Amino acid sequence: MRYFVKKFGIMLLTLFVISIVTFWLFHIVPGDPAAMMLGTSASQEQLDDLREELGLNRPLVEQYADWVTGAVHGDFGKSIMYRKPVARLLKGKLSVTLILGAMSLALVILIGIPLGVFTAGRKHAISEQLLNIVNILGISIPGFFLSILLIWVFGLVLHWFAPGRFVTLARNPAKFFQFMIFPAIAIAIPQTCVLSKYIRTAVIEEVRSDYVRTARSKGSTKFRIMYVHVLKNAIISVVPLIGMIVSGIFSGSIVIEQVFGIPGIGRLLIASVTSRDYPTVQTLVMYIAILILVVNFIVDILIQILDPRIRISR
Amino acid sequence: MVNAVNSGVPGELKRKKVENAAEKARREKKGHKSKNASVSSWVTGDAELRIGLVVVGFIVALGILSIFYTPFDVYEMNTSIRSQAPSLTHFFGTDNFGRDVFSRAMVGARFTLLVSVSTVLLAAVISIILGLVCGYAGGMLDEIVMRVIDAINSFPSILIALVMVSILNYGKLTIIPALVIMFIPSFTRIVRTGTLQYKNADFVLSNKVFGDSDVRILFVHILPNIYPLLLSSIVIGLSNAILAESSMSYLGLGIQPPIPSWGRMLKEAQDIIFSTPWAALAPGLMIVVTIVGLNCIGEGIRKKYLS
Repeated sequence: MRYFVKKFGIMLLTLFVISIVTFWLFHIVPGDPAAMMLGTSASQEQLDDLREELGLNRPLVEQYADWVTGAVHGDFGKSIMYRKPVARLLKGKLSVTLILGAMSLALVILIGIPLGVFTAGRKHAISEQLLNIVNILGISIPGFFLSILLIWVFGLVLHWFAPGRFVTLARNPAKFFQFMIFPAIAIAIPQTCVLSKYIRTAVIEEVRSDYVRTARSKGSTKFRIMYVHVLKNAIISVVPLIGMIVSGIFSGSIVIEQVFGIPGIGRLLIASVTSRDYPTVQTLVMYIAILILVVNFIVDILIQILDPRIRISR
Repeated sequence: MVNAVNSGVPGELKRKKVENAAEKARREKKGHKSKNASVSSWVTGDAELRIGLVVVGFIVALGILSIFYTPFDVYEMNTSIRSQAPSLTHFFGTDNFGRDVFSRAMVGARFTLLVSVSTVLLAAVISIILGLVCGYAGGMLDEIVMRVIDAINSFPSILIALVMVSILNYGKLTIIPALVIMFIPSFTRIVRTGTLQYKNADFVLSNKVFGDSDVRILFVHILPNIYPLLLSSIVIGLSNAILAESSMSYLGLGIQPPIPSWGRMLKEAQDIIFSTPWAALAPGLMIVVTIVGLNCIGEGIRKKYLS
């Protein structure tokens, strides 16, 4: 419990630091938001009015406090590009990205773990080499190239989905998932390779331990030893990786939403970076930071629950 | 792998023997240059390093050659030869504007490599100083720097690059400082860990007794010991830099037009992939081949010097 509180405190502190850095970074940026919103034809009076309205001429600390209180209440300021509150822009986009991320994570876990265990059991030269090659290829193909290949093969040649025609979940769930599975695959492949490699190493390590010998001498089947005894321990050792994998999935999602034309926060982020829409970029950065921090926090707690050894040693 | 199993259970002994025999057989096969054995030795150990060097060397040579010579003009559009399939005159075909894809891929190689190499080298220099100082000095400074690095590291890498690009002014080479930050955390951690490991080693302490300055100890005595690990990370970092650069260029935020880069060639070819797939496949495969090559070199160095 003390550990829980401590970790929670660290998470809040990190969030605080990130929010300050983000706020400060977008403040030292050259260029005046008021001038950007009004264009070059604006009079000095209009500029002054807008600056007053946006609170740009108040002390930095005050502006920061304002921004934070606004953000806590769901008000993230106004987008420069769309002239709309950022909160409204985000509506509907966040859920799309989260679903995409969840699908990718599910794929990574469902494929990566069995693949790692399966290959760890086989130490023949050929299968090991083959896995090595597949792994190197998997982490070497850029996500956007893989996406383009998927669009080409499954969209244009085989017509399994309609490229560029995103359907919302509410309108047609079947079509939505049919469309989303391909970007999810493109995001998942590199992460799957990473995870299966770690699982493989962890399993090989575990197989050498005493309890495996005991189980084997008791006459347990190989399948039972692998998937019941060894896997449990191997998974514990890769749980800390989940944070890294989730961050990798976000990285992939930002680029791949662009390739497939999925209206999620990744695409909004690219659009707002391109048009220098700082309030929106700032908000999205904070959103992603919070998500990553929460995931890392959950992972920390999960390790505590899963592995009694760590609990005792503290 | 073979000697690792240390148990008296008959089943394991038997397997150990079988594996020993397999290993022996493999070694014998290698001597006879059997086809099978040479295939498996290709992807392991030294061969990995050699293949990587050849592949990457070839790409680098193409990039350097493009400064002096390309088969066709990179920017000239010629509608009479548009969307041609690969042939002996146009190795990778032509795109929908009639530009030679191979020539563009050559120039793309030059700029992609230029950006990646300068990014990683810049990051390495910063990280070496940061890592050495943090590891050697320790204390509050070390604590702060490592916390910041942890925070950067937990972020999606592309997000950091995007934030940097949006803050910095657009320019031809904005992409370099934007990407540098992505690589500082991992490099710094390696140098720092190495410094901690050697800081209290006997040879370092004896040099200290003889009155060597801290700077000399760091750069002359400690740093050379960290090189092999750092070098393999730098090479693998290069492959990540190419991945990041081409992603950013694909998004239109990397190397700016009209300079061709692999990422943007892919972006331009994406819409015409049904009619002219080679225009997308060529730059895509160039990226994959280069990254595979670099990963092979990195793994090769790691295996050769660190096992």
